[in-house]
Amino acid sequence: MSLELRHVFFDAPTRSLRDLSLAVAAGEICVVLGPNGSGKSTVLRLCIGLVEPLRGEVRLCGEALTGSRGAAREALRRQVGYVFQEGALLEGLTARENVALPLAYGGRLGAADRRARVEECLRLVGMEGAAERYASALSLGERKRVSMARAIAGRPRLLLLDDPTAGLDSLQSAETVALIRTIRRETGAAFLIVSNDATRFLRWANRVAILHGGAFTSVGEPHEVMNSSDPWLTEVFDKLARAESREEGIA
Amino acid sequence: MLAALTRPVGLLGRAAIAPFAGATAIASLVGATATAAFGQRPASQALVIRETFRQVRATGIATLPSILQMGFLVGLIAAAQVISLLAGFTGTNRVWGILVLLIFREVAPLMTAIIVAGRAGTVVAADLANMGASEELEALETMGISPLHYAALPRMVGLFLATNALSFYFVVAALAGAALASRIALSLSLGNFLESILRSVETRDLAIFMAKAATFALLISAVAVRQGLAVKRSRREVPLAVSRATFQSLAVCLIANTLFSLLVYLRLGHIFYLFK
Repeated sequence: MSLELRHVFFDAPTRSLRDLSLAVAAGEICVVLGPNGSGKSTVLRLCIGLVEPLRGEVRLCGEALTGSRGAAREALRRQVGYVFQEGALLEGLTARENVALPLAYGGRLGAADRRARVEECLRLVGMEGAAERYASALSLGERKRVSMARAIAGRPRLLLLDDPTAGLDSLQSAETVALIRTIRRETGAAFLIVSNDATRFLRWANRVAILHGGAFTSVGEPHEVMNSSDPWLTEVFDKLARAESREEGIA
Repeated sequence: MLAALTRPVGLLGRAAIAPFAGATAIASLVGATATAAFGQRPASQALVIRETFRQVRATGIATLPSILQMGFLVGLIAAAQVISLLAGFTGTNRVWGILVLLIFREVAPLMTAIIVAGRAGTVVAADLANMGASEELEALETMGISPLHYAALPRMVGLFLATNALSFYFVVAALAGAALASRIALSLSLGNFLESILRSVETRDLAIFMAKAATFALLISAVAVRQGLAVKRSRREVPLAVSRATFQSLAVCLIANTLFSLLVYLRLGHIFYLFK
């Protein structure tokens, strides 16, 4: 398994999650859907150890992240790529330097191989033309692309994506989804994607989990979850249907 | 009733131990940052060295004009006061001795610390605080990169080196100011002034100056880094962190200066001996 959450509980003043269990197999795409403020980003933060569970265990690539410390934890994290919602690029570095950063700390590539790998990653996300631009000069869409290049630079076995289409227009969102599929094809890595965009990700995920009210209300393959009459998902589809019929009426 | 009585005592106790808790946290941060410097790959060490030089430029060179300006004025004022007060009574030889004591032992390290805390310490604290608020530090963690190694170490070392160098430049500027004052008041040539100063400087004064400059540099850089790293995902915390860094840097430098005075000049050890 690339990722396992085993009965994870989390408690903070603003967020509480209970009994989360989820497994993402190698090469699988798992999508966690839920409304804004349901704790989806916290689930990702638990998966990489930015926050610690109150109870339960998080395992990455077969090893326990929960309880790991120092160099062992750093080594475990290097097997994972994390894409923040806003990119979280280092502002003082160019796009190329941002992508090169994880390679300077991890892996065993020489200088020439590192440079080649950086170019390869930038080309894959379509940002080779902006390699020398500073992170602060990039648009949100470009930042997300560079962030994805940075995440895949160390050839991770698992990619964690925090709402990859948030803040993007419909064209950019469609391009981002296409890019994620390309990255999956090229790298063979497993994905855990959190989003509130149910329509965009439901179709092609291998596994879907609905996070609502601090717990997973439905977990399974897309068709299972869609047929499960999950209250949040039903509400989302009802709202979409009403919005579409209103649009047709106006037209 | 009892709670109302004990509460002020509790508050007083917490206030009393707060500086020690702060000192422990600073020492712990310096230790952890120093430890993070080892066991990293050469490519990452090269990045950190490059970033350290960038920090020296960003903090040291940016602060240099202020240091030279203030040093010159402070040296001129100090020399004018010492000359006007003492030259008539003790002769000019004593004037240089007192001036050297004043500049090397107290004015240069402390004034440099004040200027650096306000001008460069704030830059470091704000820089790290912004990195925390924009999730850059968390991004480093997710990549398996220690924020202490990549972000804290170059800033701490850069500010430490810059502050030491700035203390030296402050002395040079202060002596230039004092030379001007002696030229105006005593018609002393620059050569004679320098000769008198060099005669008055003792190894002990230089040692105290260097020890103080290094101590203040370490304290300012550690406090700035600590306050900067304390910011987590909120831009509203950034100005508060900068303000705390400035105030705490000045406070710890003054406390350290007091300890220096007690231990070195008043021989605190002798005071303890009297109480035996």
